[in-house]
Amino acid sequence: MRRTHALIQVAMALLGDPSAKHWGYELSKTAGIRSGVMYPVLTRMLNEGWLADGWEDAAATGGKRPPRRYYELTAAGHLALGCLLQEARNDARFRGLNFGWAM
Amino acid sequence: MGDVTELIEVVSGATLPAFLTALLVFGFAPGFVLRLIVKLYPKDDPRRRELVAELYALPRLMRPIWVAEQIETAMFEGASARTSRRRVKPKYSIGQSSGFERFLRKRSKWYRRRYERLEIQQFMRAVGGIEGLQRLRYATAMSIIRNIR
Repeated sequence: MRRTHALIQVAMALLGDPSAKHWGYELSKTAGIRSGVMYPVLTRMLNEGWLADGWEDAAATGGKRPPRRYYELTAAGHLALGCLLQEARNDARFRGLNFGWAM
Repeated sequence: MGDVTELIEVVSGATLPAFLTALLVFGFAPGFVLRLIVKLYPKDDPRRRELVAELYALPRLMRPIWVAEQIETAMFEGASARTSRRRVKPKYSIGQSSGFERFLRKRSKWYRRRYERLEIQQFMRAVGGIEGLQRLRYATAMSIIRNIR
């Protein structure tokens, strides 16, 4: 997969809490990218098998709103994104990014 | 100075009605507008449901901005999903193929590459990703592959 700023930022946001369920809007806020950029990245990650998706339990919403879709890191995704961030850290293109807690 | 005032008047005169219309549409009927926008996605695409569901989980003030953002998402992702589906018809999945398709498969490298990549994606989904693949017996994996073909 082509390494882009958006991919690295989404990877950092996902690895910030690898075992949690991630929701679209929260993820775009954490990653600091527009949803128009984030959703295609998520689709690519799903196709690679790095993410698994699912739907919120309808009972949990209380019938007030439709159930949301969530994303979870798979074991393969955890490994792949970890490697990706490790490589990005040494890449001059991503020098401006703050890897901090994600590494 | 007079020129600048005139320029501001022209710009504000032209954009104010547009701004008010946008505020009205995105502010009072964001759900309706978003449901129209997601029509750009193919019918069975889960993103249709997902974007609408996300809207109602947002604070009210953020909703018009979210809807406006989804125009970009739907135009790039939804429209391209539609066109790419049109290019590759899913005939390969049911084991029947036209003579033209068989010809393409044999002759065209582009078709073969695309065909095989789609098969692999479909296979990985069927077995439940890499974790599922590791648990699978060889014979079961082969029967899944045969079914896809």
